[in-house]
Amino acid sequence: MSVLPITLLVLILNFTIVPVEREMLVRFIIGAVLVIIGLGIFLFGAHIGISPIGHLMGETIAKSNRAYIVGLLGFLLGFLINIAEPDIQILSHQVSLASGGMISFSSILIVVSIGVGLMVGLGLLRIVYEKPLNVCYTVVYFIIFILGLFALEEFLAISVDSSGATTGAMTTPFILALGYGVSQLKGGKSVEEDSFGLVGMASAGPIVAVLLMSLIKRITNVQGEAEAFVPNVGIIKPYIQVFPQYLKESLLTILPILVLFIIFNGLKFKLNRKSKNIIYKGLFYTFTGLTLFSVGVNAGFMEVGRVMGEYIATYYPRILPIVGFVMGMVVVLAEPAVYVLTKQIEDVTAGYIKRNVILGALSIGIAFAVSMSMLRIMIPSLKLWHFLLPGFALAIILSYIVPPIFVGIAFDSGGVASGPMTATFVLAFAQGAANAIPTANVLIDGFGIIAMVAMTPLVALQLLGLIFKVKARKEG
Amino acid sequence: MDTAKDRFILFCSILDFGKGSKALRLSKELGALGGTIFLGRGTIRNELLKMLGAVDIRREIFIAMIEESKEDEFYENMLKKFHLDKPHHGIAFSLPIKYCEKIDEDKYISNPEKEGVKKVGYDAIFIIVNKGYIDDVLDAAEAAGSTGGTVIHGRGAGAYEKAKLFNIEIEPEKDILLILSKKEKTEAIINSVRDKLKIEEQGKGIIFVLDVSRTVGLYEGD
Repeated sequence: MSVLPITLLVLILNFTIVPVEREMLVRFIIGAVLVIIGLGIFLFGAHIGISPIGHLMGETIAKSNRAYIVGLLGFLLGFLINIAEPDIQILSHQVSLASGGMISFSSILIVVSIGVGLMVGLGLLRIVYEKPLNVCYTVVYFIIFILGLFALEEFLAISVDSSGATTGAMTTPFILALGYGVSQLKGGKSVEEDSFGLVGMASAGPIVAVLLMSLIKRITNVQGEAEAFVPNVGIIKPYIQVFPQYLKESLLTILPILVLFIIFNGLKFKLNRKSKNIIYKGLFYTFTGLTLFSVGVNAGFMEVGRVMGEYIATYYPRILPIVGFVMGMVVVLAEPAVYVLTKQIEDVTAGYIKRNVILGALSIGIAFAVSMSMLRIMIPSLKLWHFLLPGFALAIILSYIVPPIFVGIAFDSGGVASGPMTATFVLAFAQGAANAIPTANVLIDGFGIIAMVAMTPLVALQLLGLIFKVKARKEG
Repeated sequence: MDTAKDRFILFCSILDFGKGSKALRLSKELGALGGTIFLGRGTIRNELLKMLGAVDIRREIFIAMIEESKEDEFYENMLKKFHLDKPHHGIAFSLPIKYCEKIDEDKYISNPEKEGVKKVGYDAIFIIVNKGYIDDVLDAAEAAGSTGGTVIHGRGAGAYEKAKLFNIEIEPEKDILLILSKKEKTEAIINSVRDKLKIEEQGKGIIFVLDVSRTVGLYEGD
């Protein structure tokens, strides 16, 4: 059901304003089928594999009952999970290129992973010491703001983008479950609000890391060029071409979780055979599902996104923000991690905050993100920070007004929304549009899209929390 | 107070995830005193899913209080709506309520047997309050001699609670406290909780008591 809206949108656009080549359309439909199957298998696997592992690890960490162990293990887990994330590897490559080789690929990879590790460690300690989430976010984003003042604008965009990239399809369910596990074992009054917010903390790590690196290395200009666009040929061939690559990537993402599980199980969990087998099955499904999903998105969706962006920007530039709006609304529904988050929300609140309400708010948030990104591409004087600064400022202010649980949910959903679907499809659409608009720069305008997608949910979901609060007061 | 003789039953139903809210809405229409939903996990009957490794499936447990005179009509409608008579569509059962504090009309209904039966035994006291008040309830119950209790997290709404968000009804979060208490202590516990929370005010919560025929494992402290 979740992939259907985006498929329909593309088909409707195809029959109305953007006629796509027939071959490409067939590829798109094959891609959509793969994405639907992949998403289903992935979510089933995450439910019986990834989430239980994260939950068990969270409980085990909390049981240690020593703050330094909580912090240290949190750091290690965050670091290891992140370093294998394919999105981060792509990003590191891009950053390395953009810095003209001044920052090497491996150094950025390690620094970003340290950033994530530190934030996961701090995020877990926050739960243990019962420090309020809004204060933590205020401190972190204040640091980012100060660093951002000195950094190059493009690097600001790259750094916020990297926050979206860290929280990939696999890491998000894991980190979500980790925080949930720790807060549940800890218990107490704030269990509910503490069950969220760890993904939000983890996403802030890379921003600080990338900004710091660009400042330390004194990078004064951004170089490099966007990857050349090679059109696909044939119907099945592109799928066969990309398959090994995504098989490898999925394997890389799942490997650290598998290894960690084997180590932890040997030392601590000591699960019985049956439970162990279910978790292995779950990991296998997650891997299979993610591979199918990525192959479908990359071989079927990406080029359609790019072609449509280019076509609309060339012939109907005025409607670009409108198409972007609708696209944002539907694309987030196909994000795998969104369903993991909404399920956890329902579990924690006993169904009080319903999935559809969260999906609705996310949908509107991402719609604005994509729409505003289109405006930014069209109007050169509109800069990314014109959106990001007020957006994050508003998010921080709201975090002192809305019920605490919504603060955690909102900051988590920022990382959740910027998953593999948005990162490829919307990015391709934006790059296509930027390519066709003479005043736009594919490289510069390409950065910052994910940043927008990661920012708007913070505002949208906290506004939802505000509505809940007002409604609840009326009723009481 | 003539209506005080009207007896209540506790309707319990285990439904697929997502149906709890529908059941709550329907039961309000049918005149129940609101209802509460909590989440549970159930077994899977599907062999294929079992083989694939599915361990359990989410369920919603829905409880509502309704007058005995309305019970037949209530069951009829619930059956029609959720097809409970067909296999794998959920189950429902009801329990007689022994003592019920009906908060919304500022009176309580006590069943006649309550006074008569005084032999040593236990009561199951259910106290449902809005989220955030459960610590007060625990304190109050303890002060009145309760030796323990179990909190279940749920959501629900009384018959008079109506708040909507984009046309979706909000069911506020509730905490349900279950206490097994000695019969002679029941009255004291209920009074203590009622005084502490001013539970007779509308929308503060509800207390009811079920009869317990046998218990094991309860620690009989001094």
